[in-house]
Amino acid sequence: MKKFTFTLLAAALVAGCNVNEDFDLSKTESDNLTFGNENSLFEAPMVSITIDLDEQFSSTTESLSTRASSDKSFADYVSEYDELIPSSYSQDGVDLQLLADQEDSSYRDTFIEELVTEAVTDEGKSETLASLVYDNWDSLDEIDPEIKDVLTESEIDYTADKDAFVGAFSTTLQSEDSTLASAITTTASALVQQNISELTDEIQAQDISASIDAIALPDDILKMITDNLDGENCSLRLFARIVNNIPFDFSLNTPTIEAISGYVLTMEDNLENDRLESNEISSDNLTEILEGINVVTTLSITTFYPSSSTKSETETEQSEGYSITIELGLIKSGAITL
Amino acid sequence: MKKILLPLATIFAIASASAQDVTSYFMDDSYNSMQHNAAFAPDRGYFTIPLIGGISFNTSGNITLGNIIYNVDGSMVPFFDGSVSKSIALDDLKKGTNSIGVSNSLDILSFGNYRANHKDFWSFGISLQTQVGLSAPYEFFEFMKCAGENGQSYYEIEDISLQAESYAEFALGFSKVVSEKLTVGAKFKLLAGLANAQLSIDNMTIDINDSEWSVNTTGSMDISAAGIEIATMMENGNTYYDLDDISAAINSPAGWGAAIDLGATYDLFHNLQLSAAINDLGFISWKKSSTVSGTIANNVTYSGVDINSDEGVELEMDDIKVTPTEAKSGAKSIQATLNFGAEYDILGDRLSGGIVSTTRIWSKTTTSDLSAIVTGRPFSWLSASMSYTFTNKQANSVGLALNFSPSWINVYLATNILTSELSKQYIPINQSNSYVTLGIGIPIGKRSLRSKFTKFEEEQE
Repeated sequence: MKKFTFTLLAAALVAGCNVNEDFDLSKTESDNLTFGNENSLFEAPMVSITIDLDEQFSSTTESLSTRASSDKSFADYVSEYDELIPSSYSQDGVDLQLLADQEDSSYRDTFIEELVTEAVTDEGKSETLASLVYDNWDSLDEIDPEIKDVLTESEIDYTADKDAFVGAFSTTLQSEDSTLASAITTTASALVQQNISELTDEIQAQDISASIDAIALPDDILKMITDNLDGENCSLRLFARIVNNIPFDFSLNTPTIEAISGYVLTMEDNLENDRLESNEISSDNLTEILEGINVVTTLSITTFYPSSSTKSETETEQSEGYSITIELGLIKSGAITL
Repeated sequence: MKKILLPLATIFAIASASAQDVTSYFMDDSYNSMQHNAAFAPDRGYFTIPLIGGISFNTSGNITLGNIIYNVDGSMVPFFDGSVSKSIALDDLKKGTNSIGVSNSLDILSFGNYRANHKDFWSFGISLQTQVGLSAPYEFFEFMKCAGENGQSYYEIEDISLQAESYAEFALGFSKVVSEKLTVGAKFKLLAGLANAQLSIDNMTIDINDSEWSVNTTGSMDISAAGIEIATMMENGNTYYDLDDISAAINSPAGWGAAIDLGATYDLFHNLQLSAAINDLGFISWKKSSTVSGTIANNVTYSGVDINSDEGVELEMDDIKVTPTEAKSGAKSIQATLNFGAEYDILGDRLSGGIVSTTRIWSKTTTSDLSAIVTGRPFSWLSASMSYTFTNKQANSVGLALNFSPSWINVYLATNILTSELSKQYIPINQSNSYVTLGIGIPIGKRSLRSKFTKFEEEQE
């Protein structure tokens, strides 16, 4: 009786168990471990491409119709801009588009006033202005015929050699000859505008290109990024961001990123993020890109930052070599696979 | 990361397999009741059958198997699976620390008997205790499910810890009736530490932005066991432990310790007894010679491929590198438990009702249960208890216990998983604290004068 009662109770305990046969731990699958969710957005660096602009400009001069006769390095361009632009603009830079504005000269007028004012005390600037006048002597009549009269009255002899002219011009200007300063303001305005426009055009016409044989993205990163792409909750894009090591503000003109296999990636501006972003790509596209790419683009420069009279150590280092770095990265929408 | 998460999920899963048996708290004819309060004593003396005299599997904590493993469209997947939505996964987790512990107790040998006065009881037992505990903050789980949302790219997670401990316990207990109303008891325990492992990640920062992915981890590791050896490996000029190559010969204690259980009961009225106990208040001091220690100071950074470098780039987010440091001996406390109870007898002691509060003290947190218990003693050879336990202020589990004690044997069975939904492996799905306890012993001697039956019979006479 006692045994029976206990056995019955014990059996009832076991039989009363509420077992969910569908909750079978032996069938636990662990091949889709992720972090994040369908609303997640992950951005990962992929590769950095540093382009030496001095090297680019020197090696491709022949291909440029606009610079066929020139062999300027990028440093030469920077130097020419530096000579023409007052150092007072070193902080905020010179807006090259406003400077070239044909319809509204107010920005340029202020710029020229500052340039001439600086030239009065800055021998380098006055020599630059003198050279501009000397080199464009024949066309001065079209710009401002009175400038020649002023120069003559100032006993600056164009017929002398250039060095003598430049020397006399600078000396007269630095003696605070207001007549001369006033006269060259009008002239310089046109000349500087023309000169800077030419420099800008030349830089912007230069192809910037780089080739990478292969991008050895770590397997674990690649797997995390591409494993669960389905185009709906999980998608992949590329982004390109520029690291600037030149004294210009610029943008890249819709760079072409072409994989060695022929796959061409189209990038578009994402102004909100201040970078370029591609359309959606597949994992196969990414594989093609990782096998090697050619990047071709041109610069669209907007602002130039002249060096200040007292260069910082960083600026000195920069002047030793100008480069830009294009950072390519991945944008993954959706969860990351572990 | 997968290397970390899979064992973590497994530990959670195993942990859910098996809390201390509170249902038998007022079952004073069972020798198992002494586990709750050192002042308690069974009706009769006993000795247990070696190895099956007392076996218990327990889980405790504040999360459940159902918080870790999900059935999604017929597939069993872990918390970290992509098909488990963040709302489902995070809703039942606690803000703050989420913890789970597994413990197993195996009586190797035990016996106890009354003194000649049939009131004071002494006992001796040898048992093997194993405990594994894991705790992680809510932020860890939140990161796993919500990383990359709302533009957030920086995360800081603190205090992830994994502890495992095994020790042999030699316990000598004594329960003394001080007065008609007051009974006190104490159990002195000598602890022989067999193995101990503690891995603590004190701080983990994760930065996943478009310029750099980095994971910085700091923490420590201590493993103690007789003959413990961990191979080392060189990497980038640094020496690390090779955690895949650990050997030990657990043939002697790696540390010694002591603990004490203290308890008391007080009969406030004839039918109302109050009880209080603190159990396992103690420590084990692990030997320096049997301990390996290390620090974790990992800084893994990935910032893209450097095309000018011949070296490959790796982002080993799943490896925890431990740098060897000088081993140190140290005392580590064991998990203590506080029990408070009140029992009211009715129907001539044939039936009683009571409440018990249990608080488990973890290393960095505590968990508490409150149980309502009804205990029936229909026959002198059979008693049964039923409990309803509230865990973390939520109705949680129903426990049942049977004690079958005819004159020649005492069989004891208790569990609180019967009314729970169980997995196919009989693991509670939505219950954080669970227990299954079985014990078989041989009663010796006469029923004591402390026995409720004896008192009842005396009153009848």
